[in-house]
Amino acid sequence: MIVMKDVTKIYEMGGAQVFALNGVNLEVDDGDFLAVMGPSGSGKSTLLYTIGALLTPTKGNVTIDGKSIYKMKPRQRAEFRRENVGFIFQTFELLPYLTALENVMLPLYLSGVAISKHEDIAEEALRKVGLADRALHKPTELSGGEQQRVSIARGIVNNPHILLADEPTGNLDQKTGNEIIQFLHKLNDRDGLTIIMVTHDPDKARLSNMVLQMIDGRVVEDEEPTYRKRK
Amino acid sequence: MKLRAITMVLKNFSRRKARLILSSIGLILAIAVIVSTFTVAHSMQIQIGAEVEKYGPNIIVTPKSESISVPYGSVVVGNVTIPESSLEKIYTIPNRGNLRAVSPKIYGQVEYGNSSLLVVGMISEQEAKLKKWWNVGGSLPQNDTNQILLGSAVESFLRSSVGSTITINNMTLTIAGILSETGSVDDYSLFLPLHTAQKLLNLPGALSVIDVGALCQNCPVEVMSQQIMDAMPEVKATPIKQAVETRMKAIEQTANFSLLLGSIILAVGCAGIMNTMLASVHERMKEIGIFMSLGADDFHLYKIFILESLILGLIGGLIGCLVGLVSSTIMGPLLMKTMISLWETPLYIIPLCIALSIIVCIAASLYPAWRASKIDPVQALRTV
Repeated sequence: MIVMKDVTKIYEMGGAQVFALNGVNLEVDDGDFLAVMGPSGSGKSTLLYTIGALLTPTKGNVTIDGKSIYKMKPRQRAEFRRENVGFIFQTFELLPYLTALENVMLPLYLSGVAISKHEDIAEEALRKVGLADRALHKPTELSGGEQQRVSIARGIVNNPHILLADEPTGNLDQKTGNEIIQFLHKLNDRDGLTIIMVTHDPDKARLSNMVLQMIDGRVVEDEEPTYRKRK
Repeated sequence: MKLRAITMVLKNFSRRKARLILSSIGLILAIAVIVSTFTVAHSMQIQIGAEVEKYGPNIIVTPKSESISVPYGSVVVGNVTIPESSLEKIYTIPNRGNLRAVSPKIYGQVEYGNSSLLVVGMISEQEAKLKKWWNVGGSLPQNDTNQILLGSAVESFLRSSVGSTITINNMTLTIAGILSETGSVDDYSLFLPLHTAQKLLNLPGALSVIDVGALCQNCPVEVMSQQIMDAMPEVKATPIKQAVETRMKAIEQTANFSLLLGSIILAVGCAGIMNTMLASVHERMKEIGIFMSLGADDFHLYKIFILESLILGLIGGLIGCLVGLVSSTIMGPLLMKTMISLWETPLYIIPLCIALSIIVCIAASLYPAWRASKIDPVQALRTV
């Protein structure tokens, strides 16, 4: 379970204070699929990275499964990230000089998984996303949809229980984007993976079981609750 | 297929070859200067050592004397002589193992017609060991015979040939050999067996000087001189190493200057590598962000950056050594008039320089690696 309590993130910009997150309180149960929506600069990605143990908040507390992640030392936090969190990005963020298979192996290398097991585990992850036959291709030789699927394989290869997706369909056409969303739902339904996805697309957000609307670093409260369970 | 840190580093290098080559140039140059300097200096030292070993005495033993009268080359010989009986004491010194040749001699002047001739009494085989450049037509005088060896100038003066005889002080002497021109005082000397010369000069059992040759590149000649003086209190033993020392010192100074130059280039190369690495950290900001998002900690980043610099240092060191060795064979004869034999170069210089190159590269990468580990991953991921 992910719990955010009064989380504030302030950036100093030219002497002015910018509240990227402003007193956010949030609870996400295991197995939830949460879509985060809002205009540019509303703090969606900041929220995502704060949950992903990448961005230390200025104030407040983030606990995942009872562990206060920002009270950990940096190395412990990195280890926590390796074991519990997978990331997917809008621009895929694959390393261009590695093959698809090697990109998927990267989290295994960082986690210190026995090198003899790397290939089998990474191939299995690529098989899950339907890209086993493209394993030896470099990212530049893959389509956008294929690159995003490699990115998903990389995100899930360490069997994390949280997958954080920052506008995963933002660089894809409608059809490919839908395929990626369907695949994420499959991971959510089948593997019980907790998924938090930032998106601009209300249609894609609507498919998730929760939607969170953000404006100016706050979770917006309005007549129709924006954070609601659909299941 | 296996993914190791080295795989990532090599793959990353392969796409940034130009940068790799540019950043290595300073390093290669520095290592090349150090290796070539070392090779040339070492080769020159060996050659000088060989010359010292091959030519002439290292120590000249003369009687302790205040009065000086007879000059012989650069050595001055007094009227006082060394008793031949004390010659054996030289072989009792602690460093006797280093004695290559011990050549006792008597000098004197004899009248021949209206001229006076310089007579040198010697033990042929000992003198020949010291003066390997001697080129004798005929043979050297046999010990305890009336045979003589003429210096080239004396030969022209006497107009005598091998086998003919001359009479000096009522002693008939047979010419056994004629010395080719040496350009030294030897050309004006008449060489006789030691005991024959002592008889001719009427100085039985007397020695003017003992030339001693020591058998190594860097013999402790001062120590040996002192040992000789301790064993023979009646003599003065003078080490002749000034000329050698001056040359050695000149080489040493040149080598030190080149090493200084190499160190400066190395420092510049180090700064260049640090600059390249810092630029690389900046360029690879996004990549570092990706690594961090996947759970990389400072240890992983240090490992990658240090491994990169290690490989850079290894390649730079290897190429630098190669360039240094090749350039020394070209520059040695051109600048130092010394033929360089790479076979004589001690092999330890190669691993030493490669290690130096690696250490410098790793040192240059520590600050960039630290900077990389301090990058804000979210900012890094947002860079284009």
